[in-house]
Amino acid sequence: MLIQLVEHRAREALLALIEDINRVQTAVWGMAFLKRRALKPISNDEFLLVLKPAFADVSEAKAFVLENGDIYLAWRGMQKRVHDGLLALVGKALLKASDSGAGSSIVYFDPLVMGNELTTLLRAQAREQGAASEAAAHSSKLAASKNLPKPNATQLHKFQEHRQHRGERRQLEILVVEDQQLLRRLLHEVLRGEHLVDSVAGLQEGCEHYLEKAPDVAFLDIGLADGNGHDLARAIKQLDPDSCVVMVTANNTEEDMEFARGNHADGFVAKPYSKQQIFDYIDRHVSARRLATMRDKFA
Amino acid sequence: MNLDFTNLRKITGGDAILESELFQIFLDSARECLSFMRLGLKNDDETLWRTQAHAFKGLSYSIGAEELGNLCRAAQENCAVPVLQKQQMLNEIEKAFALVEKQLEHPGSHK
Repeated sequence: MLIQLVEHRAREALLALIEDINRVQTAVWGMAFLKRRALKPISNDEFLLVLKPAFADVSEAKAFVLENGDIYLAWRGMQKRVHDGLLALVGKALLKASDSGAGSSIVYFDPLVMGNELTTLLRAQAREQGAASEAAAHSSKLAASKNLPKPNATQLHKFQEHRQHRGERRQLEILVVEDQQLLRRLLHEVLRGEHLVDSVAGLQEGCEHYLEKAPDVAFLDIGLADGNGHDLARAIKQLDPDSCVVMVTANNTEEDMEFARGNHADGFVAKPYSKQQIFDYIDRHVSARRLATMRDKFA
Repeated sequence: MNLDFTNLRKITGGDAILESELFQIFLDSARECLSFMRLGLKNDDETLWRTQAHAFKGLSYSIGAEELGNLCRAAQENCAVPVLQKQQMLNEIEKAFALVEKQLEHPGSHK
C-alpha cells in the first residue's frame, strides 16, 4: 500500500490524473475532496498516518494539497469501502468538532459520474486560459482517444456553428457508426424516412462526420475495426455534452455497460435490437430537448 | 436450424427486395468471418478468432439465426481453449451456417 503526497505543482498533477482517469475510464478510481477549513491544524506526517488505515486495501493512493488549501484524495479500487474508511478515520481524527458534521466535510465523487464532475474542473481551468486555449483543449480532448483524428480550428468552428443551429432543423440528423455492413444497413433502414441518416464504418470517419455535421443523435457500435466506440463516445460527450449518444453492441457485458455509463452515454442497446428500442431513445432525446428549450424560454 | 424473421420483418416491412439484399450481405459477411476464423485457428491467433466470432455473432442474431449466434458466442467466449476444441467449435459453426445458407439461398424457404 502506498500513499503519495503531492504538494509541489499539485494542481497540475491533479489535472493530469483527471485526464488520465477520463482516458482509462473512471470506474476503477475513487476520489474525495476535503475542505481544509474543516481540518484541525496538523502536520503532513500525522495527516498521512491517519489516512493510511483508510487506504489499507488499495494499491495506490494520492493526496493532493492545493495552494488554496483544498485537498483531493484519489485511490484506485474499492471506492465505497475506502470512502467509508475515510469518513470513519479522517472524520473522527481530523475534522473540527464545531463543523456541521464529519460526513458533510468530505465530498465524495461517485466514480460513475466522476468524469463529468472532474471534467467541469478541467473546463473551468480552460476558460481561465481564454477562448483560444479552450479550443485547443477541446481539440486535444477529442484527439486524446486512440485512433481519433485531431480536429483543426476550421473543423471546430464549423462544428460549433452546426451545433448552435440544431434547434432549427426540420428533421433529426442521425449518425450511425457501425463496421458491419449488414448491421449498418439495418439501422439505416430503421431510421431512414423519418430522419436524415448518415452511416459510416469506422471510428475516424465517425469522428470526422460528427465534427462536420454535429448530428442530433449518434448510434455507435463498440467493437469497430479501427478502434473502440467507447473512445468516440467519450470524445463526443466531452466536446458536446448536449449530444445524444447511444451505444449499440452484441457484447452485452457489465463492463461495456459500465464504460458507457462512465462516458455518460445516453443509452445502451444490445443486438439484436428492435425498431421500438431505437425509436424509444430518439423519442426520449426529442422530449429532453423540448424540455430544455422550454426551460431556456422561461429562464 | 430455425430462423426467426420476426424482428427483421419489422424493419423491412416485408419488402422482399430489401430482404433479399440483406440476406446477401449477411451471407457475404458471414463467409468472410468464417474464413478469418479459419485463419485465426490456423495461426493460433486468439484475437482474430475472438473478434471474428464476435462479428459473426452480431450478424447471426440480427438475421434471426439464434442458434448460429449462440455457437458464435461460445466461440468468442472460449477463445483461449486448445486448438482441438476450437476446431470442434468451428466445425459446428460451419455446419450451422450451411443450414442457414441453404434456407436463405432458396427463395420461398424463409416465409
